[in-house]
Amino acid sequence: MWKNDLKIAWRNLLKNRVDTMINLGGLTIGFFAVFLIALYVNFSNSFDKNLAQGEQLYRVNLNSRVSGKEMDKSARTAPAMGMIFKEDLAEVEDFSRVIIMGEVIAGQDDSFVREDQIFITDEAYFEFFDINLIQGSEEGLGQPLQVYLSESISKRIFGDKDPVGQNLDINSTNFDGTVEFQVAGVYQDLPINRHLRPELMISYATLHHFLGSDIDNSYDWLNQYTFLKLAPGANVESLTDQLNASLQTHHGEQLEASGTEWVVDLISVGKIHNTLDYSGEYNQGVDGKKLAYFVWIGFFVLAMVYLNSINIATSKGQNRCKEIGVRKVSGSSSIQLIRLLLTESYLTHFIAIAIACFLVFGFGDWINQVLGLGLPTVSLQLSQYLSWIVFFWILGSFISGIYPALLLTSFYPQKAIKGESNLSFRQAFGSPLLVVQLIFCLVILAGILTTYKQIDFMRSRDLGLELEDRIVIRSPMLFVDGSGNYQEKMKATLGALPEVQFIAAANEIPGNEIYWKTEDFHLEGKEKSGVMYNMLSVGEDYFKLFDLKILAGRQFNPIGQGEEAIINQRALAGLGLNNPEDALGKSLISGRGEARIVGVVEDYYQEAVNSPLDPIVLNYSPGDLNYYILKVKSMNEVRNLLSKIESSFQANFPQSPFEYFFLDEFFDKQYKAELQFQKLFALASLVAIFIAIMGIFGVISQVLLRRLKEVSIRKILGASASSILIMISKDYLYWLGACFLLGIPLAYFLFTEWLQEFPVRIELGWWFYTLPVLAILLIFFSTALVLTIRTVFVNPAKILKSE
Amino acid sequence: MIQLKEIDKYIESRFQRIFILKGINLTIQQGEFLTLMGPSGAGKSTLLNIIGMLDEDYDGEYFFGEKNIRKMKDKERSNLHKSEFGYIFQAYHLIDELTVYENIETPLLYRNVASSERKSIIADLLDRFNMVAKKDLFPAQLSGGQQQLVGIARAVAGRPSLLLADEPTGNLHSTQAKEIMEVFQELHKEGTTIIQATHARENADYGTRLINLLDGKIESDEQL
Repeated sequence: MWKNDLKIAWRNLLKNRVDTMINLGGLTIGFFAVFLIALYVNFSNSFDKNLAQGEQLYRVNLNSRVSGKEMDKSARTAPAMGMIFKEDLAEVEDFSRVIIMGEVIAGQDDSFVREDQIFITDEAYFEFFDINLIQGSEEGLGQPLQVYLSESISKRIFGDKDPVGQNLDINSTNFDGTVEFQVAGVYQDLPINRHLRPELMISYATLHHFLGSDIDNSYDWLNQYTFLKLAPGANVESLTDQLNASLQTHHGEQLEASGTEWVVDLISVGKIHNTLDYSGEYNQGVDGKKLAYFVWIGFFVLAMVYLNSINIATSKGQNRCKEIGVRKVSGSSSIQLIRLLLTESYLTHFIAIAIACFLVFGFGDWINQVLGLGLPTVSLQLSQYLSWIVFFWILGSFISGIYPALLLTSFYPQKAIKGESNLSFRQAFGSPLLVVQLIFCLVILAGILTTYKQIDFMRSRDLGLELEDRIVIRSPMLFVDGSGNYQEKMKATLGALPEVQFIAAANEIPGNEIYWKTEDFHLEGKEKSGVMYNMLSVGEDYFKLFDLKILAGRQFNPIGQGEEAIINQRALAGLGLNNPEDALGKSLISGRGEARIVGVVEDYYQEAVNSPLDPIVLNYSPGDLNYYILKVKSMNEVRNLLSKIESSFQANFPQSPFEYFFLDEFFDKQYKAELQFQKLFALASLVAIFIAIMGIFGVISQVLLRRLKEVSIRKILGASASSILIMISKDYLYWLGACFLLGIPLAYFLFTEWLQEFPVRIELGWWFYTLPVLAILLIFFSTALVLTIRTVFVNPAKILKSE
Repeated sequence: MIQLKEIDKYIESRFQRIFILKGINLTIQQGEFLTLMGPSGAGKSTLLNIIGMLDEDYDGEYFFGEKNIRKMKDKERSNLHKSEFGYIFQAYHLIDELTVYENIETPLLYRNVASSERKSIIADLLDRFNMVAKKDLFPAQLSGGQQQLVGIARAVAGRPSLLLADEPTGNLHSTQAKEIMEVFQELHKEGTTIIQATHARENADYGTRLINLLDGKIESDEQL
């Protein structure tokens, strides 16, 4: 029997080609969008989830408060913490410390790479994070100046040579130059879904070699991640209290002396990637709340797709009344009929899902790039989603097919045969369905508008510094091209070009986090306040180049390194001062010595506007820094200029690659998550509009069909076309009114909620209430009017004759 | 075989009941070939629908054999419906998406007839109505007379004891109509009970009994 049902379903699809295409089109686009959302969400949720000991692994985070006020909620902790926790508490089985290195240049002979995924790690890290050594041994972790490489980095540096035992030069600002390491082992490349993904790992003993083993007892050096392995089944909440008690016992006095309060908490390793609560994360994660929004959008789209498919199946079902009647008379039971009608739904969904799968998994990489979803290729495998796809196929086909099936089989056969189907019944169902579709459409349109405005707002907001017309050139690879003062050389050569207005060096550029963080600053005669300062070394002209506003004092004088400091307003407050003038001339004391404050600069956004403004201490450095920023007079001839710059660079630093980028584009990359959100919303709105049009088309053509006779009779009685148009259109007003009354508050509620996520955000203005409404009106009337006008100009004689 | 007692069928309107059928008493014996005649609106189709159990909204008693239809359970009624009734329509009502062969097969599928048996039943029917060459055509490719032959073949495929035909020749011209009526006559001779509703007096001549309906009442009842 099912073969027969399938055959009939297939013929039915072929017979109503236009309907089938519309239905399939809607379903396919819908499933396609839902697949992409599912892939994205699933990938974002998969980080650090498949670690062998993942359930037991937690990271320690540090909340610091000064006189009750929260200063920082940081992912980074001090070296001593892991040690004391393990000693004091039985439930802490083991701990691991990971120290951030920042960007380095590593290599041998002529083969060098720049890499920022490099950390100093201990033995426990290998165990915690399933590092799989394929060459060498773990013994090297206990010895200084040993380094482990990932397979791919090893290939890039050593090619086919056996890397183990080779020397590897690593140049880092943290080493103040270049240090020779020995390769102790090579490990399998880590899966892409790890929140830390080291390409190089330096042995922990190296740290002792440079800083002495006393560093292990430090509470001041807050530049590392501490991971704890808890006993199975440990109660995290009570343990957190014990951790804090332990911290108080060991370090309480010192904290009290500095007026600081420290509270640690734990986060499961599997949750790190989906939390943006902590500062100092090394790789940016994806907000779990944002993922929840994606899931909601997915459900929205799915609901719309199913509603639409119900709508189409119901209106198509009208044409099958006769067939159903005949089958009933021939002895078919209701169950058999429902099965027959459902078969068509299952077939349609199957085809749509197959096409969508083909698109997603066949062209996945391409779509991934176009939409900038950042999915790895490994997540684009059909097999791991197969059971879900089958589940949605079975459930979705049932949902969208069962209503029309029940409706059609509920008619008395003699009525069905005569084609007297229950039009009014469908009508009553069709209009609310349409209103729901219109509401979805409205909400999604309001959503895309809001996201667009918000992102635009963030990107165009005054950062306190200028990014346009700035070209960034990466520093030459220091030890490759020999030693010497590159800053001077760069300034002398590139600064001399007539197109270049200013050139300045800096250790970090806007758009990057400043990795040098310390609370080791205080004014003469005052205690450390526990405020975390960002330290940034810059060259001459830095303030001019970025148009930074100096509130008091002056720029740096080109004198010795570290003699002068300029602070921003946050740092001013952190030092306990109110008036910028008061800071001038004061001595800023740190472990590195004393610097005189010569200026106070207005706060500016080092990173995107949705990240916090941090206290920054800038100091002057005439030496080698990581980046050179050029302010050019005009971008018109930028191609020419770049080739000029390149040739000049290559002449001076023949061994180093010329790497440049435009600062405004670079800065924009921080809005990746928002841009992805916008793109997914755009996709969803496409589906919404497409489906709404089909819904409007379906419902209105049914309504008009029903009124065809009425319209014909009225025309014969002398009604004008315009009066008929008005008469019919009146119905539409109720639907649109219902849509706006329900849709606008819903959209308002959803998107004020969404905007709460942003520290700086737009207000929902007139555009929010009017533009989506206008769009809906436009979509509605452009669809409805075509159909209505066709009815109005129908020849009444033809209609009435066939009655 | 069939006994109708005091069958009323009416529509409630605001001030009164409009009767479509009123006080119909009718007994039909096994093997009769009965013709219902009467002008439009006399109640022919309504009566036929009630006899055929396509309409359950009426007052009165309906006995099929010994059983009171109105007191039967749904399941029993549906089984009776499947095993005893065959229907033929004025507008043929073939399923457009199915071929001739598949149209005839439909009632057999619903009766759970085994595949091999289905094949032989359909082959017999196609042979009998000279449709073998047309078995793979769709209804739209057939003439009206041929479509009605398929309709009859489909109606008798399930071997019903009672065949109900509502204006079976209404859409056909006279030669085709004659052909169809001869098929009915033949089926009747083989023992099938037939009830037809028609406008055409000449069709009644093929039958054994003629009932004239007027305004929902039996006007005359004669054996031919």
